[in-house]
Amino acid sequence: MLTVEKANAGVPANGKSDRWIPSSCSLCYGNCSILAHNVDGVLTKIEGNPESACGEGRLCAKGVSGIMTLYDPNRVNAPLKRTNPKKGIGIDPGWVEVSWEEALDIAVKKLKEVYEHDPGELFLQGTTTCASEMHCGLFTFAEAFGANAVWVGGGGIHCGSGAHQIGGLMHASWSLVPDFKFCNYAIYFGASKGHSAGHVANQNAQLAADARARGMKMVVVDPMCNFAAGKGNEWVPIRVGTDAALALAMANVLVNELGIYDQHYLKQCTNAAYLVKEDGHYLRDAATNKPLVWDETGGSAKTFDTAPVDGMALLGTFSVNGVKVQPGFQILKEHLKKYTPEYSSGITTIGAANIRRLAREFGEAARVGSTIMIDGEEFPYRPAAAIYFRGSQGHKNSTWNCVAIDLLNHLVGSADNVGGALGFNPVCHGHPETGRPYYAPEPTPDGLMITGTWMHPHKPFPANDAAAPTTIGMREFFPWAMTSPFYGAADREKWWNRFDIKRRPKAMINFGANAIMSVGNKDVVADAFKDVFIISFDIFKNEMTDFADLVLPDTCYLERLFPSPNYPFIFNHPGSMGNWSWPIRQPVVKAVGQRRDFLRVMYEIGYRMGLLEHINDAYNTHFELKDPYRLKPDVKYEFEEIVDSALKNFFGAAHGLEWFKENGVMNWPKKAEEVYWRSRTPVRVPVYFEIFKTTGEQVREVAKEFGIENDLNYNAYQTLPDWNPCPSHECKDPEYDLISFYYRDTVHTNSLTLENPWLDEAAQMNDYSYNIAVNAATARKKGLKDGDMVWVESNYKRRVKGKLKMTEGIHPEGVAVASLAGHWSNDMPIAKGKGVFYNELIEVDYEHLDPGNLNMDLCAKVRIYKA
Amino acid sequence: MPRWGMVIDLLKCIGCYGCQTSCKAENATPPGVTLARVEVTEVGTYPNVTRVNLPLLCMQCNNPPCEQVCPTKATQQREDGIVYVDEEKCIGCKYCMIACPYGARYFVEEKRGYFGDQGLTPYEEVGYEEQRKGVVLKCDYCRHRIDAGLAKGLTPGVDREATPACVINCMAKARFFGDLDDPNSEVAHLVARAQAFQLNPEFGTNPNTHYLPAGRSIVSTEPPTKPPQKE
Amino acid sequence: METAPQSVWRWKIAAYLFLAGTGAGAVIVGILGDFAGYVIPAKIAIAFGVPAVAFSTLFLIMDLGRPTKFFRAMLHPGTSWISRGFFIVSALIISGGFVTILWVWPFGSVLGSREGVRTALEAITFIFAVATCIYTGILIGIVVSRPFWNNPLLPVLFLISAVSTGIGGVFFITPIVGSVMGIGSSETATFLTHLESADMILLVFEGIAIYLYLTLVFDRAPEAVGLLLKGKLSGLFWGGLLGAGLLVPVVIEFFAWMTHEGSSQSLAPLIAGVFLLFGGFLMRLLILAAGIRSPLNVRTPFRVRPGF
Ligand SMILES: Nc1nc2c(c(=O)[nH]1)N[C@H]1C(S)=C(S)[C@@H](COP(=O)(O)OP(=O)(O)OC[C@H]3O[C@@H](n4cnc5c(=O)[nH]c(N)nc54)[C@H](O)[C@@H]3O)O[C@H]1N2
Ligand SMILES: Nc1nc2c(c(=O)[nH]1)N[C@H]1C(S)=C(S)[C@@H](COP(=O)(O)OP(=O)(O)OC[C@H]3O[C@@H](n4cnc5c(=O)[nH]c(N)nc54)[C@H](O)[C@@H]3O)O[C@H]1N2
Ligand code: SF4
Ligand code: SF4
Ligand code: SF4
Ligand code: SF4
Ligand code: SF4
Ligand SMILES: [Mo]
Repeated sequence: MLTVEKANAGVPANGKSDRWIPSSCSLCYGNCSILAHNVDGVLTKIEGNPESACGEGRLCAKGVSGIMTLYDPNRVNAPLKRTNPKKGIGIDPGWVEVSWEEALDIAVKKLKEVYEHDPGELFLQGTTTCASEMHCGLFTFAEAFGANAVWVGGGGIHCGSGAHQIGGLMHASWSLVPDFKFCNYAIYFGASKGHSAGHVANQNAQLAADARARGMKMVVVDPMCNFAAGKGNEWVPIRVGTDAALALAMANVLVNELGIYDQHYLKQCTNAAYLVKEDGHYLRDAATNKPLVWDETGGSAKTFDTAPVDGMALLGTFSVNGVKVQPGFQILKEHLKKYTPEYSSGITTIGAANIRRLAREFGEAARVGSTIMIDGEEFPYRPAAAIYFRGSQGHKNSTWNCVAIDLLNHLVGSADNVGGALGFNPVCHGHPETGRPYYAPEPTPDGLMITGTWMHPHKPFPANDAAAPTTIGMREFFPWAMTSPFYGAADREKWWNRFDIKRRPKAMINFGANAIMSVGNKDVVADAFKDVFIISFDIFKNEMTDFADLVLPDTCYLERLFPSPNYPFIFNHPGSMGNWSWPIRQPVVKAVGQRRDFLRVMYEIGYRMGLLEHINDAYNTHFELKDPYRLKPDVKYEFEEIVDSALKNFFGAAHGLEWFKENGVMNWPKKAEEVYWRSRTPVRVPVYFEIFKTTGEQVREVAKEFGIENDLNYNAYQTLPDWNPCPSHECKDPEYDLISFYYRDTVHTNSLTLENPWLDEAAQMNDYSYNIAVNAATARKKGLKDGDMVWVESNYKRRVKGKLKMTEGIHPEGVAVASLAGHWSNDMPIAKGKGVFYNELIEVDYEHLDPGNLNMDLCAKVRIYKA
Repeated sequence: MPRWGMVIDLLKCIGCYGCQTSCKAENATPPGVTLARVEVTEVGTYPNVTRVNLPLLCMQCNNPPCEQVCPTKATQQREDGIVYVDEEKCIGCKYCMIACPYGARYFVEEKRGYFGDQGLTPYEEVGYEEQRKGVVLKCDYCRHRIDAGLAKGLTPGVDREATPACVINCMAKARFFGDLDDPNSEVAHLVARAQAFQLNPEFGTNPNTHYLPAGRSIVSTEPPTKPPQKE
Repeated sequence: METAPQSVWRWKIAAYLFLAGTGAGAVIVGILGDFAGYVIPAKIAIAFGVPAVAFSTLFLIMDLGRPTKFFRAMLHPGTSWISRGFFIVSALIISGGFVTILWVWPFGSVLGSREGVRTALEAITFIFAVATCIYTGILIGIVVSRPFWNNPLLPVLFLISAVSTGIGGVFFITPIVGSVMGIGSSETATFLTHLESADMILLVFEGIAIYLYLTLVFDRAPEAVGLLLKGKLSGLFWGGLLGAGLLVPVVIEFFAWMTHEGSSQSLAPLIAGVFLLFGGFLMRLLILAAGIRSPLNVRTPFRVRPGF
């Protein structure tokens, strides 16, 4: 293996300086470990670092192409000040170069102004593409500043408010993957995990390939025969946005037709046995206020933690001191009956016989009751997994889509058990020498699971009580939302006025995110930003920076230092058995021009604003620093010192920055009970969602105060999952006969890499990348042919133009567009005009949000016609 | 004398284009030159359809038409089977491109970087240094890695450093490399499998690059749903 | 998406194949003419043909990535048809050159009555001329993976077309030279009429040959044939090659032949000539462009789209 030392052993004969430097990729949030070849100061090659579990020496097409992003002549190299006060799409900001000193003065002056007036008027925005630095930089600064408005552009609201909310609630993790090493039957709902995109894209690709070779069966539910479906044993074309209907029908077949469900798991690891009163709430113990279950062995109600697990009743109706109660599972079982395969078939267009078959295959593959020995210990063996992500969760019914799909795992007991659906690393017992990092899920008094760690300061559960909102994101009123789309929504003013919130966003700090493109319709978002003073850290002058007042030239991932690119492990560290790896990111070449690290600059700004104490404190929290490594309130640190402290804090005095610079990555073995923690951890997850109902009642109360009780949608606040239609399903205008959706291209990350010429070249060699995919038969019906220029027009009369690609691999009602493409910035010449800007079709308003978690609905009812 | 060969498992390959770009990074090939490339096609009709990803590179034919037609002997085959172009001798007649059945050869029209008129990047400055325009380029199994590796006593196909860039980088671990004449090598075992095949054997080229089939039923049991009626 | 034509060898190579063929064709016609006793027009044909061949090689060199190193192309005659062609064409130019210098120029024989030498030289030249026409077919005909070319009929097709374009060249050049120099008009006229009838038959053959060729290669090269009949190349194929290149000259020749007026003053041969040459060039261009690579077979029930 090309290990670091070997590679660096001996200066080459030609006397050139020649080093392989270990660092981390960040062309997507996967942060794979890399080795960068620096010859005489020039980056000549990027390879994977075989010593790290994060990629095991392999990279995706983007990872090896980073060279072209580093050396792109269109990068921003000096601070830029806006001279044209008028802001708008296509309006030249009239940039003039300024010194860093002047730039910092401008920034600090503006931020002071806001800080003194109302910190709540500051609005922070960052890109998921550099998730690690983003979380560190934005959240520490927000903490210190007292800002309460943070979003990640189109991130979260497209890809996670549902997936991560349910991931956190049900798996104590950010995301879900099949346990590729043991899974025998994986059913994907709108995810490409292991076949192109997703978290840990690269490592999962290796695991998935091995699983395929091993014979794991994969069924892919997707409106398009995409990357995963193209490798699956079976592609199940589904009508866009109807996944919950399919999943609930499968659950119904399992529970009510086949009687396949894991009673022991449901009793031990969920709230299925909790007794529920007719008002929908738990029956609680008078003394302890703990939820009660019915103990069949004793024939009486006991608190969930005192009743013998296998004695708990899942079914039946009981009367406890005169109160009629049923176990949550009994209610769920009844609820599911509505979703007969025939009923769901009408919604999803999938044949009823197939729905039954899929349910049976899944149920049988799960081998309920079986166990397996791993590292000499016995674990439940459930080699079947139901996986969701961006595709299925990106709809108005986001929450329930995810719940319905994940419910399949909890019914057969495959959640975080061997071969089942794994959350990424919810448990870590730490490095053998230091015992750090250490975290594990813990129970609430009700026995429900709280994640051990999280990406945001605020964990997904327990949710705050709903309250009258005062922040511009209004998340107090939407306690289950991960982030708020209202900052860029068309109806934001309406909502602010409803709650008479006087605050308005005055200034924004943007770290990367290209929100003008990534959120939704560009005009809607542009309108939200035009009056905000925007300080944008960026590496390109993109569509977002067109709205900035100050552009600060950031280093890219190859030029900067960061101590924890793959921590928290629940985000982008490989999930299944193997090693724990803690790599760092370090400069592999000297930063070009006047580029400066975002994190250093933010620290400097904080310092100049007199927030040093708060910033240091925020860093203490962010890196979980314990003495002696805690930052002192009154010392201004070099970033290297902070990094050094963070590393030593986790791995001991011998393993500080110097050690990591040389060695690149710290490894230690994972233990089976860390990976397969579910049967070992005394926490439960809901299959009956009293928690949502409770929030719903609070929301209603608050709404009453403001007289908007009837303007709200309460679908998200039921106790049990349902399929609820997207606006695109409700549009009855026959003119608009198709449903559009987007997906990720394997060679592009969001809008960033379209500027990378190697990746652009690859995309141009692919028939799908830059074109509009439509079912061949549908196209013929409309008299269209391959290569035609066509308009895709939504029922809101918004339209985009592109080249038609006729394909057999898409649902007859589907219209698919790849990537976050269609750049119009002149300063990204490679990207400009490539592909199609799908988001033009996306509405950004309450009507198109999940009413609970505020995830956006990303499909649109459209028609296509010749351009 | 070894006979270097590659095996690409189409069941594992996910069409990620990583081989294409890692080859670029390794060999600093100019725009339009993709010594490793990927062809993505779909098979079947809705709903019984799937994608097929076909990663391509020089097949390193044992009986290479490119070498036979080359009028200058610029194209040569080494004893270890590697077919390469001696850029010094090549006159750019492109006959080899005409003769190669696999589209594995590329003509370098002009010395131009990826950012065109904006000039060469530092990486390109270094990478394009000893490259010539007006000649034909092809994959040579990264012979520089193999030779340097062997010189260090490493084993191509086993040691990363001595193995082709596209192979060590493949994120589906779909590419295998080694000595086909060594019965104990991984590639020898894979090629021995019944399903292993060479692309278009009828061309009589007898490639050292072999494939394993995508080998999966492409049948979706879903009956075709009625396309929406256009009123 | 739509199949792209072969794009490695384009118009320069087509021009080479065409001019070399035409020149060699003219030489063939000239020498045959001389044997048949039409001395003047024969001389004109040869005087046109040999330089044409020499000139053609310039296109070949122009197409090289490194033109100045063209002479290296002779280094691999063992297996490379470019090397072999290098020698064949050179031989034609040299022996043809001798014929021209010794006999054609200055239209009064330097050889005087030494007929034997001349006949011998002409015989040799004739052989290399035929070889040139055929080799251009073999050059691309041997490429196994381009089924549209890989067919024994291709050299034959090239030979026929070469002769007919050769005649075209003669048509084109003879009346001009004839009128300018005012020589052998009656002899030339009868020669041309004979050529016209000969060429008509030739063109009919060519038409049949093309039809046969397409049907013959269809099984192995459906995409290529599709490219010509209904794809990107169909316009040039129907309108250009069949229409302008074959039909028009046949019609002109037919009427010229009906009215028996084939005098060197008549414009008919000149016009026919232009169309013939045009057709001949298009034929090379289209055949080159249609020579796409066979699809690669991945053992799945489909063909990967053919390569250019
Ligand atoms: N049509 C469509 N829309 C989408 C998506 C899609 O796939 N298609 N994806 C959605 C999802 S899930 C997400 S997460 C969002 C993502 O949306 P964004 O977070 O906006 O991600 P990008 O569009 O890649 O924009 C990232 C920008 O960050 C800048 N950048 C990159 N690296 C650095 C760096 O090191 N420092 C700094 N300061 N800046 C940097 C680049 O200029 C790049 O334009 O988009 C959402 N919107
Ligand atoms: N190569 C690459 N990797 C990436 C990224 C990237 O841009 N490129 N971005 C990163 C980010 S920010 C994210 S969030 C992840 C996202 O990773 P993924 O979740 O894989 O995101 P997508 O490809 O957008 O969506 C997955 C699939 O959902 C399908 N789909 C669309 N609508 C529906 C639907 O209604 N139902 C069902 N069942 N399927 C549907 C699409 O066709 C697509 O095949 O990837 C990360 N990794
Ligand atoms: S998956 Fe993401 S992080 Fe890993 S190499 Fe690819 S772009 Fe880089
Ligand atoms: S890198 Fe591997 S998986 Fe990716 S396209 Fe090439 S062969 Fe296939
Ligand atoms: S694949 Fe093509 S270039 Fe490679 S050896 Fe065979 S013929 Fe030559
Ligand atoms: S282009 Fe170069 S390598 Fe190819 S045949 Fe001609 S001389 Fe040989
Ligand atoms: S072996 Fe080397 S040259 Fe050949 S395709 Fe792979 S990386 Fe490129
Ligand atoms: Mo995302």
